Amino acid sequence: MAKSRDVYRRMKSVDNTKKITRTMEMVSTAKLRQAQRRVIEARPYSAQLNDVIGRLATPALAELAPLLRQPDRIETAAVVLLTSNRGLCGAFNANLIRTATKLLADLEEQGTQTEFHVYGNKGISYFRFRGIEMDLQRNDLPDRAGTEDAKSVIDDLARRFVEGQLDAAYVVFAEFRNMVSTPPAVRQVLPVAVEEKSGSQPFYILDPSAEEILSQLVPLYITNSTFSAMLETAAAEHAARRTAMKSATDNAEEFLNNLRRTYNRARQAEITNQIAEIIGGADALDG
Amino acid sequence: MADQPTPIDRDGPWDDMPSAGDLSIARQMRVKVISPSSAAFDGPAASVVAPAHDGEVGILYGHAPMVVLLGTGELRIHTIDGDTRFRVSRGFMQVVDNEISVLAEEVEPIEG
Repeated sequence: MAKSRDVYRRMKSVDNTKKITRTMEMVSTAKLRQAQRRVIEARPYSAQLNDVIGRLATPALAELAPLLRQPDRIETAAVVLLTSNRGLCGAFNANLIRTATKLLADLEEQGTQTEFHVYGNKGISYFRFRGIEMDLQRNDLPDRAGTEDAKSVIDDLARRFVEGQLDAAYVVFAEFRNMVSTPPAVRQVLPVAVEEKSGSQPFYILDPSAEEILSQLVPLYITNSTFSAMLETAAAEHAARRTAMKSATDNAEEFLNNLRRTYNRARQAEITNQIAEIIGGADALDG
Repeated sequence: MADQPTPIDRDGPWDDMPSAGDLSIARQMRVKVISPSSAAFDGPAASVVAPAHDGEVGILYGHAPMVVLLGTGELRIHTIDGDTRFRVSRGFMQVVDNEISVLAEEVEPIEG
Protein backbone atom coordinates (compact mmCIF):
# COMPACT_ATOMS: atom_id res chain seq x y z
CA MET A 1 0.00 0.00 0.00
CA ALA A 2 2.61 2.50 1.17
CA LYS A 3 5.17 1.27 -1.33
CA SER A 4 4.03 3.29 -4.32
CA ARG A 5 4.05 6.50 -2.29
CA ASP A 6 7.63 5.81 -1.12
CA VAL A 7 8.76 5.28 -4.68
CA TYR A 8 6.93 8.42 -5.73
CA ARG A 9 8.72 10.46 -3.05
CA ARG A 10 12.01 9.04 -4.26
CA MET A 11 11.21 10.00 -7.84
CA LYS A 12 10.49 13.57 -6.77
CA SER A 13 13.85 13.80 -5.03
CA VAL A 14 15.78 12.38 -8.00
CA ASP A 15 13.92 14.71 -10.30
CA ASN A 16 14.92 17.72 -8.18
CA THR A 17 18.55 16.63 -8.21
CA LYS A 18 18.35 16.25 -11.95
CA LYS A 19 17.06 19.79 -12.31
CA ILE A 20 20.00 21.07 -10.27
CA THR A 21 22.63 19.13 -12.20
CA ARG A 22 21.13 20.11 -15.52
CA THR A 23 21.17 23.78 -14.52
CA MET A 24 24.78 23.48 -13.40
CA GLU A 25 25.60 21.85 -16.70
CA MET A 26 24.09 24.75 -18.60
CA VAL A 27 25.83 27.33 -16.41
CA SER A 28 29.14 25.55 -16.96
CA THR A 29 28.55 25.42 -20.69
CA ALA A 30 28.07 29.18 -20.79
CA LYS A 31 31.12 29.82 -18.59
CA LEU A 32 33.15 27.34 -20.60
CA ARG A 33 32.40 29.18 -23.80
CA GLN A 34 33.69 32.43 -22.31
CA ALA A 35 36.75 30.80 -20.78
CA GLN A 36 37.53 29.04 -24.03
CA ARG A 37 37.32 32.32 -25.91
CA ARG A 38 39.76 33.85 -23.46
CA VAL A 39 42.20 30.98 -23.95
CA ILE A 40 42.04 31.34 -27.73
CA GLU A 41 42.36 35.13 -27.66
CA ALA A 42 45.43 34.91 -25.48
CA ARG A 43 47.27 32.63 -27.89
CA PRO A 44 48.59 35.19 -30.43
CA TYR A 45 50.34 37.12 -27.67
CA SER A 46 52.10 34.01 -26.35
CA ALA A 47 53.09 32.94 -29.85
CA GLN A 48 54.50 36.34 -30.77
CA LEU A 49 56.36 36.67 -27.49
CA ASN A 50 57.92 33.22 -27.90
CA ASP A 51 58.89 34.10 -31.44
CA VAL A 52 60.68 37.32 -30.55
CA ILE A 53 62.45 35.91 -27.52
CA GLY A 54 63.54 32.94 -29.61
CA ARG A 55 65.02 35.30 -32.18
CA LEU A 56 66.82 37.50 -29.70
CA ALA A 57 68.07 35.04 -27.13
CA THR A 58 71.48 33.49 -27.65
CA PRO A 59 73.49 31.51 -25.12
CA ALA A 60 75.85 34.48 -24.80
CA LEU A 61 73.01 36.77 -23.85
CA ALA A 62 71.62 34.24 -21.40
CA GLU A 63 74.78 34.79 -19.36
CA LEU A 64 73.99 38.49 -19.11
CA ALA A 65 70.29 38.44 -18.28
CA PRO A 66 69.80 37.18 -14.72
CA LEU A 67 66.31 35.94 -15.48
CA LEU A 68 67.66 33.70 -18.23
CA ARG A 69 70.26 32.06 -16.02
CA GLN A 70 70.38 28.29 -16.41
CA PRO A 71 71.41 26.65 -13.13
CA ASP A 72 73.75 23.66 -13.49
CA ARG A 73 71.96 21.81 -10.75
CA ILE A 74 68.51 22.40 -9.39
CA GLU A 75 68.97 22.67 -5.64
CA THR A 76 65.70 24.31 -4.73
CA ALA A 77 62.49 24.26 -6.70
CA ALA A 78 59.04 25.70 -6.21
CA VAL A 79 55.95 23.81 -7.26
CA VAL A 80 52.87 25.93 -7.89
CA LEU A 81 49.66 23.93 -7.97
CA LEU A 82 46.53 25.50 -9.47
CA THR A 83 43.26 23.92 -8.36
CA SER A 84 39.68 25.14 -8.39
CA ASN A 85 37.89 26.83 -5.55
CA ARG A 86 34.73 24.83 -6.10
CA GLY A 87 33.98 21.16 -6.43
CA LEU A 88 31.49 19.09 -8.41
CA CYS A 89 33.87 18.86 -11.33
CA GLY A 90 34.68 15.15 -11.36
CA ALA A 91 38.29 14.07 -11.12
CA PHE A 92 39.59 17.50 -12.16
CA ASN A 93 41.21 18.44 -8.84
CA ALA A 94 42.18 14.88 -7.99
CA ASN A 95 44.18 14.65 -11.23
CA LEU A 96 45.97 17.93 -10.55
CA ILE A 97 46.75 16.92 -6.97
CA ARG A 98 48.11 13.55 -8.10
CA THR A 99 50.35 15.22 -10.70
CA ALA A 100 51.68 17.71 -8.14
CA THR A 101 52.32 15.02 -5.54
CA LYS A 102 54.23 12.97 -8.09
CA LEU A 103 56.29 15.97 -9.18
CA LEU A 104 57.18 16.77 -5.57
CA ALA A 105 58.20 13.17 -4.94
CA ASP A 106 60.32 13.09 -8.11
CA LEU A 107 62.09 16.31 -7.20
CA GLU A 108 62.79 15.15 -3.68
CA GLU A 109 64.17 11.89 -5.00
CA GLN A 110 66.71 13.90 -6.98
CA GLY A 111 67.71 15.61 -3.75
CA THR A 112 66.00 18.88 -4.57
CA GLN A 113 64.68 21.10 -1.81
CA THR A 114 61.08 21.82 -2.64
CA GLU A 115 58.59 24.41 -1.66
CA PHE A 116 54.93 23.99 -2.34
CA HIS A 117 52.46 26.72 -3.29
CA VAL A 118 48.82 25.75 -3.50
CA TYR A 119 46.12 27.85 -5.13
CA GLY A 120 42.43 27.03 -4.83
CA ASN A 121 40.31 25.72 -1.96
CA LYS A 122 40.20 22.16 -3.24
CA GLY A 123 43.97 21.69 -3.23
CA ILE A 124 44.36 23.47 0.10
CA SER A 125 41.78 21.36 1.91
CA TYR A 126 43.21 18.15 0.48
CA PHE A 127 46.74 18.81 1.64
CA ARG A 128 45.56 20.22 4.95
CA PHE A 129 43.58 17.03 5.54
CA ARG A 130 46.59 14.89 4.61
CA GLY A 131 48.79 16.92 6.93
CA ILE A 132 51.17 17.86 4.11
CA GLU A 133 52.83 21.18 4.69
CA MET A 134 52.25 23.97 2.20
CA ASP A 135 54.51 27.00 1.97
CA LEU A 136 51.80 29.18 0.52
CA GLN A 137 48.03 28.78 0.34
CA ARG A 138 45.82 31.15 -1.58
CA ASN A 139 42.20 30.96 -2.69
CA ASP A 140 41.70 34.55 -3.82
CA LEU A 141 42.40 34.18 -7.54
CA PRO A 142 39.32 35.47 -9.37
CA ASP A 143 37.38 33.39 -11.87
CA ARG A 144 38.46 35.68 -14.67
CA ALA A 145 42.10 36.18 -13.84
CA GLY A 146 44.10 39.00 -15.37
CA THR A 147 47.81 39.44 -15.91
CA GLU A 148 48.00 41.24 -12.56
CA ASP A 149 46.93 38.00 -10.87
CA ALA A 150 49.55 36.04 -12.79
CA LYS A 151 52.15 38.56 -11.63
CA SER A 152 51.12 38.11 -8.02
CA VAL A 153 51.70 34.37 -8.43
CA ILE A 154 55.08 34.43 -10.11
CA ASP A 155 56.79 37.76 -9.34
CA ASP A 156 58.10 36.74 -5.95
CA LEU A 157 59.43 33.45 -7.32
CA ALA A 158 61.11 35.27 -10.23
CA ARG A 159 62.76 37.71 -7.82
CA ARG A 160 64.16 34.87 -5.73
CA PHE A 161 65.26 33.09 -8.90
CA VAL A 162 67.29 36.14 -9.86
CA GLU A 163 68.78 36.33 -6.39
CA GLY A 164 69.77 32.68 -6.65
CA GLN A 165 67.64 31.42 -3.76
CA LEU A 166 65.55 29.39 -6.17
CA ASP A 167 66.64 27.34 -9.17
CA ALA A 168 63.37 26.31 -10.73
CA ALA A 169 59.64 26.92 -10.65
CA TYR A 170 57.02 24.54 -11.97
CA VAL A 171 53.34 25.23 -12.46
CA VAL A 172 50.97 22.29 -12.26
CA PHE A 173 47.87 23.18 -14.25
CA ALA A 174 45.17 21.63 -16.41
CA GLU A 175 45.88 21.80 -20.10
CA PHE A 176 42.85 22.76 -22.12
CA ARG A 177 43.11 20.67 -25.28
CA ASN A 178 39.41 20.65 -26.11
CA MET A 179 36.02 20.34 -24.46
CA VAL A 180 36.56 16.76 -23.33
CA SER A 181 40.32 16.43 -22.96
CA THR A 182 41.80 18.46 -20.11
CA PRO A 183 44.76 16.48 -18.83
CA PRO A 184 46.88 17.75 -15.94
CA ALA A 185 50.25 19.09 -17.07
CA VAL A 186 53.45 20.52 -15.64
CA ARG A 187 54.98 23.68 -17.07
CA GLN A 188 58.50 24.71 -16.21
CA VAL A 189 58.31 28.48 -15.91
CA LEU A 190 61.81 28.96 -14.49
CA PRO A 191 64.49 28.62 -15.68
CA VAL A 192 63.17 29.87 -18.99
CA ALA A 193 63.56 27.26 -21.70
CA VAL A 194 64.36 29.29 -24.80
CA GLU A 195 63.79 27.62 -28.12
CA GLU A 196 66.31 29.17 -30.42
CA LYS A 197 65.28 29.86 -33.96
CA SER A 198 67.46 28.11 -36.47
CA GLY A 199 67.92 28.95 -40.13
CA SER A 200 68.41 32.29 -41.75
CA GLN A 201 67.87 35.26 -39.50
CA PRO A 202 66.88 38.59 -40.96
CA PHE A 203 69.11 41.40 -39.84
CA TYR A 204 67.23 43.17 -37.09
CA ILE A 205 67.59 46.73 -36.00
CA LEU A 206 67.46 46.51 -32.23
CA ASP A 207 66.56 49.50 -30.17
CA PRO A 208 67.79 49.48 -27.44
CA SER A 209 70.31 46.61 -27.29
CA ALA A 210 69.28 42.96 -27.26
CA GLU A 211 70.17 42.66 -23.57
CA GLU A 212 67.96 45.56 -22.63
CA ILE A 213 65.06 44.36 -24.73
CA LEU A 214 65.39 40.89 -23.24
CA SER A 215 65.52 42.22 -19.71
CA GLN A 216 62.12 43.81 -20.40
CA LEU A 217 60.66 40.93 -22.35
CA VAL A 218 61.61 38.00 -20.18
CA PRO A 219 59.49 39.18 -17.22
CA LEU A 220 56.56 39.56 -19.64
CA TYR A 221 57.27 36.07 -20.90
CA ILE A 222 57.34 34.55 -17.42
CA THR A 223 54.14 36.32 -16.44
CA ASN A 224 52.52 35.19 -19.65
CA SER A 225 53.38 31.53 -19.22
CA THR A 226 51.81 31.68 -15.77
CA PHE A 227 48.84 33.64 -17.08
CA SER A 228 48.12 31.19 -19.88
CA ALA A 229 48.34 28.28 -17.42
CA MET A 230 45.75 30.06 -15.28
CA LEU A 231 43.45 30.67 -18.26
CA GLU A 232 43.70 27.07 -19.39
CA THR A 233 43.02 25.77 -15.89
CA ALA A 234 39.93 27.98 -15.63
CA ALA A 235 38.60 26.72 -18.96
CA ALA A 236 39.46 23.13 -18.07
CA GLU A 237 37.61 23.45 -14.76
CA HIS A 238 34.42 24.48 -16.53
CA ALA A 239 34.87 21.73 -19.10
CA ALA A 240 35.35 19.15 -16.34
CA ARG A 241 32.34 20.43 -14.43
CA ARG A 242 30.20 20.38 -17.53
CA THR A 243 31.18 16.78 -18.25
CA ALA A 244 30.58 15.76 -14.63
CA MET A 245 27.20 17.47 -14.53
CA LYS A 246 26.19 16.03 -17.87
CA SER A 247 26.85 12.49 -16.71
CA ALA A 248 25.09 13.24 -13.41
CA THR A 249 22.04 14.42 -15.36
CA ASP A 250 22.18 11.34 -17.59
CA ASN A 251 22.45 9.07 -14.56
CA ALA A 252 19.54 10.81 -12.87
CA GLU A 253 17.48 10.31 -16.02
CA GLU A 254 18.28 6.61 -16.10
CA PHE A 255 17.59 6.24 -12.38
CA LEU A 256 14.31 8.05 -12.84
CA ASN A 257 13.28 5.65 -15.62
CA ASN A 258 13.96 2.66 -13.37
CA LEU A 259 12.03 4.26 -10.52
CA ARG A 260 9.13 5.04 -12.83
CA ARG A 261 8.96 1.40 -13.83
CA THR A 262 9.01 0.30 -10.18
CA TYR A 263 6.39 2.88 -9.35
CA ASN A 264 4.06 1.76 -12.13
CA ARG A 265 4.47 -1.85 -11.11
CA ALA A 266 3.70 -1.00 -7.49
CA ARG A 267 0.70 1.08 -8.50
CA GLN A 268 -0.55 -1.74 -10.71
CA ALA A 269 -0.12 -4.24 -7.88
CA GLU A 270 -2.07 -1.95 -5.57
CA ILE A 271 -4.96 -1.68 -8.04
CA THR A 272 -4.98 -5.44 -8.59
CA ASN A 273 -5.00 -5.88 -4.85
CA GLN A 274 -7.90 -3.49 -4.41
CA ILE A 275 -9.93 -5.16 -7.17
CA ALA A 276 -9.27 -8.53 -5.59
CA GLU A 277 -10.47 -7.17 -2.26
CA ILE A 278 -13.63 -5.68 -3.76
CA ILE A 279 -14.45 -8.87 -5.64
CA GLY A 280 -13.67 -10.86 -2.51
CA GLY A 281 -16.00 -8.55 -0.50
CA ALA A 282 -18.80 -8.83 -3.11
CA ASP A 283 -18.42 -12.58 -3.22
CA ALA A 284 -18.67 -12.71 0.54
CA LEU A 285 -21.93 -10.66 0.44
CA ASP A 286 -23.41 -12.84 -2.30
CA GLY A 287 -22.53 -16.02 -0.54
CA MET B 1 66.94 55.73 -33.47
CA ALA B 2 69.43 58.44 -34.30
CA ASP B 3 72.54 56.51 -33.31
CA GLN B 4 71.67 53.50 -35.43
CA PRO B 5 71.77 54.06 -39.19
CA THR B 6 68.94 52.36 -41.05
CA PRO B 7 70.22 50.17 -43.87
CA ILE B 8 68.26 51.23 -46.94
CA ASP B 9 67.94 49.00 -49.94
CA ARG B 10 67.97 51.56 -52.76
CA ASP B 11 66.69 49.07 -55.28
CA GLY B 12 63.94 47.92 -53.01
CA PRO B 13 60.44 49.15 -52.36
CA TRP B 14 61.69 52.57 -51.24
CA ASP B 15 61.71 53.85 -54.82
CA ASP B 16 57.97 54.06 -55.05
CA MET B 17 57.26 55.21 -51.54
CA PRO B 18 54.16 57.39 -51.54
CA SER B 19 53.96 60.93 -50.35
CA ALA B 20 52.81 61.09 -46.77
CA GLY B 21 49.47 62.68 -47.61
CA ASP B 22 47.84 60.24 -49.98
CA LEU B 23 47.05 56.99 -48.20
CA SER B 24 45.04 55.40 -51.01
CA ILE B 25 48.10 54.73 -53.15
CA ALA B 26 50.29 53.72 -50.22
CA ARG B 27 51.35 50.14 -50.02
CA GLN B 28 49.68 48.38 -47.14
CA MET B 29 51.42 46.63 -44.31
CA ARG B 30 49.76 44.12 -42.04
CA VAL B 31 49.47 45.46 -38.52
CA LYS B 32 48.60 43.48 -35.41
CA VAL B 33 48.13 44.98 -31.97
CA ILE B 34 48.01 42.30 -29.31
CA SER B 35 47.50 42.43 -25.56
CA PRO B 36 47.80 39.40 -23.24
CA SER B 37 44.04 38.91 -23.24
CA SER B 38 43.10 39.66 -26.84
CA ALA B 39 44.00 41.04 -30.24
CA ALA B 40 43.02 44.71 -30.32
CA PHE B 41 43.72 45.36 -33.99
CA ASP B 42 44.50 43.23 -37.01
CA GLY B 43 44.39 44.68 -40.49
CA PRO B 44 46.14 46.60 -43.24
CA ALA B 45 47.61 50.03 -42.66
CA ALA B 46 49.71 52.51 -44.59
CA SER B 47 51.81 53.73 -41.71
CA VAL B 48 52.23 53.32 -37.98
CA VAL B 49 53.60 55.70 -35.39
CA ALA B 50 54.58 53.98 -32.18
CA PRO B 51 55.81 55.34 -28.83
CA ALA B 52 59.28 53.84 -28.58
CA HIS B 53 61.13 53.94 -25.27
CA ASP B 54 63.04 57.05 -26.33
CA GLY B 55 60.57 58.87 -28.57
CA GLU B 56 58.16 58.19 -31.37
CA VAL B 57 59.08 55.97 -34.28
CA GLY B 58 57.24 55.87 -37.60
CA ILE B 59 57.07 52.85 -39.86
CA LEU B 60 56.25 52.86 -43.56
CA TYR B 61 56.13 50.09 -46.13
CA GLY B 62 59.52 48.56 -46.77
CA HIS B 63 60.98 49.17 -43.34
CA ALA B 64 63.95 47.02 -42.39
CA PRO B 65 63.37 44.26 -39.82
CA MET B 66 63.33 45.82 -36.39
CA VAL B 67 62.55 45.06 -32.79
CA VAL B 68 62.01 48.10 -30.65
CA LEU B 69 61.07 48.47 -27.02
CA LEU B 70 58.04 50.65 -26.42
CA GLY B 71 57.42 53.10 -23.66
CA THR B 72 54.06 54.39 -22.51
CA GLY B 73 52.20 56.49 -25.03
CA GLU B 74 49.99 56.72 -28.04
CA LEU B 75 50.14 54.25 -30.91
CA ARG B 76 48.69 55.64 -34.14
CA ILE B 77 47.74 53.42 -37.05
CA HIS B 78 46.93 55.19 -40.30
CA THR B 79 44.59 53.21 -42.50
CA ILE B 80 42.54 54.08 -45.55
CA ASP B 81 39.46 54.26 -43.37
CA GLY B 82 41.07 56.73 -41.00
CA ASP B 83 43.24 56.61 -37.92
CA THR B 84 43.04 54.18 -35.07
CA ARG B 85 44.70 55.10 -31.82
CA PHE B 86 45.69 53.07 -28.78
CA ARG B 87 47.29 53.85 -25.48
CA VAL B 88 49.98 51.24 -24.93
CA SER B 89 52.42 50.56 -22.16
CA ARG B 90 55.05 47.96 -21.36
CA GLY B 91 55.55 46.33 -24.71
CA PHE B 92 57.53 46.09 -27.89
CA MET B 93 57.09 46.26 -31.63
CA GLN B 94 58.42 43.86 -34.19
CA VAL B 95 58.69 44.75 -37.86
CA VAL B 96 59.51 42.03 -40.35
CA ASP B 97 58.49 41.58 -44.00
CA ASN B 98 56.01 44.44 -43.84
CA GLU B 99 54.28 42.83 -40.91
CA ILE B 100 54.12 44.89 -37.78
CA SER B 101 53.28 43.29 -34.46
CA VAL B 102 52.79 45.49 -31.46
CA LEU B 103 52.67 43.54 -28.21
CA ALA B 104 51.92 45.39 -25.03
CA GLU B 105 50.93 44.47 -21.52
CA GLU B 106 48.29 47.21 -21.63
CA VAL B 107 46.40 48.22 -24.74
CA GLU B 108 43.48 50.63 -24.56
CA PRO B 109 41.71 52.13 -27.54
CA ILE B 110 41.49 55.92 -27.61
CA GLU B 111 38.13 57.16 -28.86
CA GLY B 112 37.74 59.97 -31.35
